[in-house]
Amino acid sequence: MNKREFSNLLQKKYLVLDGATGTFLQKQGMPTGVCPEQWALDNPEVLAGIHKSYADAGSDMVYSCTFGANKLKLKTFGLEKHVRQYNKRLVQLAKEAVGTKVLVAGSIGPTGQFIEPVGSLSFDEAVAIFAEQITGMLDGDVDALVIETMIDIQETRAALLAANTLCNLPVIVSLTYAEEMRTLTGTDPVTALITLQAMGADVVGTNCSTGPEGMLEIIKRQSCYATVPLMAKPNAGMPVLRDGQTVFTMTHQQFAKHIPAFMEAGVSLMGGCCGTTPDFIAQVHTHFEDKVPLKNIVQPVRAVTSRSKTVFFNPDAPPLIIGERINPTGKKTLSTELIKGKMTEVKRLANEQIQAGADILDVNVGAPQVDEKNAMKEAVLTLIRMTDLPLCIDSSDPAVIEEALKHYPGRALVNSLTAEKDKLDQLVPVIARYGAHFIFLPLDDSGIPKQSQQRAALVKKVLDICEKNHISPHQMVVDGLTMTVSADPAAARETLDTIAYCTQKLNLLTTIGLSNISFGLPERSFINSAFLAMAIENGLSSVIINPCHEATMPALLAASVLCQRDRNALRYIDRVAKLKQKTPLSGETKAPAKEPTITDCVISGDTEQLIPLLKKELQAGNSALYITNEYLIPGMQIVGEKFSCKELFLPQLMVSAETMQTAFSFLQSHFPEDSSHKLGKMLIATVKGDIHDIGKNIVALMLRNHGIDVLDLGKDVDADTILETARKEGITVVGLSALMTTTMTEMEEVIKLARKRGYNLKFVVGGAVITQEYADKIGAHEYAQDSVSAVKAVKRLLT
Amino acid sequence: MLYDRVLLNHISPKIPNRAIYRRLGYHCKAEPDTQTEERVNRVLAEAVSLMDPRGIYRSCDISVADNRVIIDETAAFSSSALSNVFKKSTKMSIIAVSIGPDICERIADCMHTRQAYADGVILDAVASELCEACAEALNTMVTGMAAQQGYRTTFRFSPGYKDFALSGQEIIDRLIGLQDIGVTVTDHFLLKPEKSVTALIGWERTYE
Repeated sequence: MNKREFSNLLQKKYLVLDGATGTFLQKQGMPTGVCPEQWALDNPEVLAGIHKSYADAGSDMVYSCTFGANKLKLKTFGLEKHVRQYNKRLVQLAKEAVGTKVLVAGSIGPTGQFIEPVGSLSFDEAVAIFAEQITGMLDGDVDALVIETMIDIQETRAALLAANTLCNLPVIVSLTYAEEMRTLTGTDPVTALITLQAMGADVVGTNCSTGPEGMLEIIKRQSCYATVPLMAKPNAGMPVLRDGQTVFTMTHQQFAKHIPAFMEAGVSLMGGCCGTTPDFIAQVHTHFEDKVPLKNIVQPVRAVTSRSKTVFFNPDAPPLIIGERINPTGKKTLSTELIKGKMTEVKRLANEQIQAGADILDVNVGAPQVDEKNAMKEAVLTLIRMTDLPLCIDSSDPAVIEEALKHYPGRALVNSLTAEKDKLDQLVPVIARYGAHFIFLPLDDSGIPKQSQQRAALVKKVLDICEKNHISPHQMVVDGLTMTVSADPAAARETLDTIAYCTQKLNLLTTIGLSNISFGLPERSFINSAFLAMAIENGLSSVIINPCHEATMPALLAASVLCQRDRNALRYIDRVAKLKQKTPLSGETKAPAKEPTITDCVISGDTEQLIPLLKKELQAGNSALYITNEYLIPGMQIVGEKFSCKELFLPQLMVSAETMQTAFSFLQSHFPEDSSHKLGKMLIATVKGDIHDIGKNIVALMLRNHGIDVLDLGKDVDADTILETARKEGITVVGLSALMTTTMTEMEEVIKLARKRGYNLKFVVGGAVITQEYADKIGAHEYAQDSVSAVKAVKRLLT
Repeated sequence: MLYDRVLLNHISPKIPNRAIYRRLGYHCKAEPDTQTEERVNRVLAEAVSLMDPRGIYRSCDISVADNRVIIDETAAFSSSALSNVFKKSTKMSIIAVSIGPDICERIADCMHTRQAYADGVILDAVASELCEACAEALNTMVTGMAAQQGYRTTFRFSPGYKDFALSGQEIIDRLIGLQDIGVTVTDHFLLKPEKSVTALIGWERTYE
């Protein structure tokens, strides 16, 4: 049965699947810890009995007992050489047991390893592992394939790619969702559905992990976006331990009560997973018999996905922002890094655009001397680790695009296809294979057509080619082709007409790259903004821009409101509020502020106004010491008091401390050369065995800001070093820090050793686990709960 | 019995915004001002680009007796508190996560070289919470796998908590190979890089 025949079948009738195999085999005597496939082959009559019992109960399709018959799983039992043979024989056993009226689907389960970047198994390796298993099933003349109980979308994609590459059999794909309705690697049911149906799954669904109640909600969510039939195989409730045995408590009668709800939610195939038996399947059969599945009435799904997020092209929302910054053209730092295989700049540019509100990130790594294929793979693996935004894979080389699509665990946007013959020949099959959305540039081997009608003709031509290659027109995103208006005054009109025609007449998605339009003109952002607004009015679906460019974003937001693409102007209001936080918008004036003092600058952390004020004080003849004592330290004291009563918090305390350090650096040359201006000197260290030093660093900084000369020995410092340094430097006050209960005992050792050696030192101790009681117990002179109290304590000890 | 070790080269933690502010002292209803919020967001974005969150887990059968959680004759964890939490467990998962060395280096750079103290302190808080979030993400994954097999899990229990000695880190290292996620155990049983976590999660049968 091929894909089309299977699809036709499912339009006419519901399909009853089978129930559990694993738990059923255990009931029939399979011991724990053995290889189920091997045991089934050794006990073919038991396996045949299970398959037959499901067929007798009304199953239209049974799964072969090949769930774990892949190379990695069989390797656990030293059986990895038998993959093909086991799969072939187990499929044949199923077929022999159920006869010709019942279909046999080859069951493909997870390998147990994760695919990179999550795990270390490469995507190509995973595809090869599944291909080997599927080849065995094909040898056994399997009727369909079922990729089931998958917990990771990327492994599922690998199995699906292997299946669709090897045969034209129908492929059912079924994932298992854990808490919060996500797979163990974070994919939600809608994202999984959109990714997998785009990639050629013939049925998408869910099995295992939960009973019917939990599973129904997953199906309901998927049914709104499913263009393929849905399937469900719930457990017989959740397993419990009874008299030392794991049992599923749901009865087949209880199970049956849920079946109508699944039918109403839109499933076309249903069976059972762990704990279900032929009795359960008989109930499904009774409900399904002589009924026709509900037809999918969903609109075509126009959305790109990442591993854990779906972004929809929505005509009623502002155009999607495709961030264009990850592109080495004109970016020397990025080019240099890409040549060296580094990704720091890629990450920085991604971050910048994420913060600025990009919906999709364009990734282009093509530059002279760059190994583009490898760089693209690394960039994709880097970006999918750091963001859930979908990616737009941008390259002129189809092989680079395919490399990226393989490693990308979602449905990407490809940038771009043209009507050039070579491009069509090479890239169309890639787009078809991965189900990607793609940007189409309406140009061909004779160049860019000047007029919109000619561009539209190319669009139609390529739509025909797409149809022949099973690519939906809804996958196409037409680029209006922005040309420079200073060179051709009619250029903007042609682009806008192309957008309008493709949107309104052909119902296609559209995009534009913005900046070309204004090339050669002054104040380019004015032209760019106006052009963007006009494009939105003509129905633009997405725009390729630098989202960090503040001039164009207001135009996008405002035009979306005016074109009724921002209901109640909610996005506009939200974004404007955020912009206002950064800078007051034009037309708004602030009341003239009182000129701040040096103390005010310390409190507010204002380093910009601080330096001129310090200069003014020095010019007025005041000494650095006077400025420190009269303005700086009082400022820090106020900050300390506000921190103590929780009016200010740690980040603000540190900002003030930074401001103090800026002031000290500026005043440095104005202090006396000796240390007479200091309050005194002390030593500070994190004790031996402890490598945590953030708290100690904060304390040292605060002490310095209060005029104390601090010798910081760092972390993991042994008692002898602390004591001998103090002795050599003539220091009498020592600060000790420890974070762990296991290392705080070292403080006591330091104090004991000081007494033993007869050193007259005073100790102040602190750290997350230290208390006043502990400080008293070990004989410390002071206990400091935080940096502010440490300053007070050290001042007491120094005086 | 020890089962296969699974190495995760990447973990996606949920960004723990509220926990970061709590760590910075914003307890209860205390809210950061706009400037602080912007600074924290900027540092958080930097941290996300610097971190390299990786993890390992390995499950095993256990027995609990005489205040010890026993894997086999060569490996056991002594702790009455741990034994009490794991008293109904017949399996456990040993987990380890790290967000990598780059963030720790950047914190040191902020505090010692660049004199960017506010950024350093915020980055430290962000890194600690991201590391916890990674542990939480791995914990969720383990809980999901346990549920599939009809188990529920205990809360995760780390060396250094109550009477579970830090020396447990060494046994964990031996069982799961921390070097594969770039983590080493110091002579005093601390983890390096500092923003790393190990823990044990017990598996209990689901009872009626």
